[in-house]
Amino acid sequence: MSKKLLLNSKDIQIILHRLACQLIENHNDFSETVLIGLQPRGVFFANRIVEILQNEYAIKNLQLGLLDITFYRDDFRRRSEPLAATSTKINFLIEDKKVVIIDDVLYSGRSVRAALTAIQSFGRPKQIELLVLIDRRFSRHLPIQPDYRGRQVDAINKEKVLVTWKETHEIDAVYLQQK
Amino acid sequence: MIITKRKKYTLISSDEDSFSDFFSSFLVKKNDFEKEHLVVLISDNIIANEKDFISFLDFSEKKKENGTSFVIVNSTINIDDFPDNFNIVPTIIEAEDILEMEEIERELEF
Amino acid sequence: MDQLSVEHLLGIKYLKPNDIDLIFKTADHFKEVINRPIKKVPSLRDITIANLFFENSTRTKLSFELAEKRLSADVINFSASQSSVKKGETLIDTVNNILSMKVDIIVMRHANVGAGVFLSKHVNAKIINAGDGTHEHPTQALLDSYSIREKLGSVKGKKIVIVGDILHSRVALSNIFSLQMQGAEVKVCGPTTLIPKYITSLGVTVETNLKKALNWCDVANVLRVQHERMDINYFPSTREYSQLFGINKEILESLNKKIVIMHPGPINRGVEITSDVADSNQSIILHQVENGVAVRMAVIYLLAEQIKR
Repeated sequence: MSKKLLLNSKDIQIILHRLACQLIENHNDFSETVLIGLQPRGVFFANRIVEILQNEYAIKNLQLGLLDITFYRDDFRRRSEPLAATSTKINFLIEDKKVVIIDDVLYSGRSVRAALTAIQSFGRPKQIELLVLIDRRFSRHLPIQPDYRGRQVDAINKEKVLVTWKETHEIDAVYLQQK
Repeated sequence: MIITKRKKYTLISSDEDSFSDFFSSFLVKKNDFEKEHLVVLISDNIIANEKDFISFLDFSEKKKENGTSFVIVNSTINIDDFPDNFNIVPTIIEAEDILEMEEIERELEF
Repeated sequence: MDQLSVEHLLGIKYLKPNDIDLIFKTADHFKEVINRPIKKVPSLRDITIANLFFENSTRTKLSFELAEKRLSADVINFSASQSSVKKGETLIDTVNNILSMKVDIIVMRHANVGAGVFLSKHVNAKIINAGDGTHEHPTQALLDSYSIREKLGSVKGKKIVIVGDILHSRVALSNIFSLQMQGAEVKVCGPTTLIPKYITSLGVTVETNLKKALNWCDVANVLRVQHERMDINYFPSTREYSQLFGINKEILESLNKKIVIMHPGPINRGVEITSDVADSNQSIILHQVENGVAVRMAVIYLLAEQIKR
């Protein structure tokens, strides 16, 4: 399995800062906005964005929730292996709030579709935006596009985009891997 | 009275014209079947009422005590007229199901 | 182990410890779901479930129905108390008629021991035993253990006493299997006429003195005095029962520690426990009810996962 480095940790830092600024442009002090990281991998990414917003840009009282979409997936009973759920922690109301869904890679769009349904269980948001680190541009199965994107990648089906974070894998990096 | 040995039980079918004739034949042979699961098929030709069928009650209870099953088959009966622990059903298939259910109960040590 | 090792839930005796673990982890997720503003997930929207209750039950049936609806399944209810349906072929016939309406899962409560086992051999659907005669009631035992785990952190190493009519109780038997599988110590306490002779062969100890039993335990699971199950009087009167085995505030306060009180419901207030005990902060009875829905959702979800399209 050959791995090609797409983004190194410096590239990622720059992207994280840019995304944070883009968010601030649209959401100001985040008093009307909540962030929701998609389990399991969107969570690391979301935590880093939150870190930058809080430490570098002094945003206070930022609300971050974690959403597991296992029970909303459209491939239940269609896979050969069983699905294992992770936890959902949304300790605030989203009624009338602006929601930003955060995930690491946007591929077919099915996870985001599931997230959109799941979020409805928590109330009716004012608006929902999507923030992703990597947008696999031509891989969509559904009409879903990000509002904020770190980097666009044109990967073919046989390739996998692999995102690692220093919390678990020593360095921040994005690779393109042959499956 | 016709005795047929089947794989999991012994079938006793009536060929007499009256219940009392059948019952007398049965009483003569009843101790032969102590260790076997028994299904007694009483044909529609015989006119019998609940009291007649209930004459089997004692025998049925003794068999339950020794861990074997006993079911009567007669298509004219109404199940609700009989006590819960008395096995009487309209068809042979249902009798076989009762034998299977009691087997499962015994396997579960009940 | 991410899947159940069984194809039906017929009894705790057929489960492995990993199964119980998986059910509990899944129930944790569903517990979070049922505390959201919208308490539903769409997972089972193309699954049909039939509730066949041949014996009366309000709470268990409601709990299952709620669990099924929270998973977005379609639900059919079927009650039959006619004795004719207790007999074999009519049972299979009834079930096959229901199955021809494309039912995937059957939740059944029946008076015959082993009815679920029998059915699983003859029909093409997943069977969940909601109580078969005096044999097992597996989802009750699972929610009881889950509640102990929630309150005390784990079941392993804990001491649980089951108080009451053990002889006629499927809740007791299932609980014994479940608690022992998870490494708990189990004792039973009740009138000698209501304790079956074989109980010690299951690795369970017997104590006929209530206070001694309560002083020994961490948790007391108090069973309902079931008049409808008893053909003859197994003890002189309800009054005598409550004097010897009823749990009240005085007894609880006289013990050497604070114990946890459980009850499968419905409670005969004043007989097996008093109202102030049932409503006290040592009682987790209401949590048992909430946990019942989450645990049943978990069991149904995990079994449904095995039904491939």
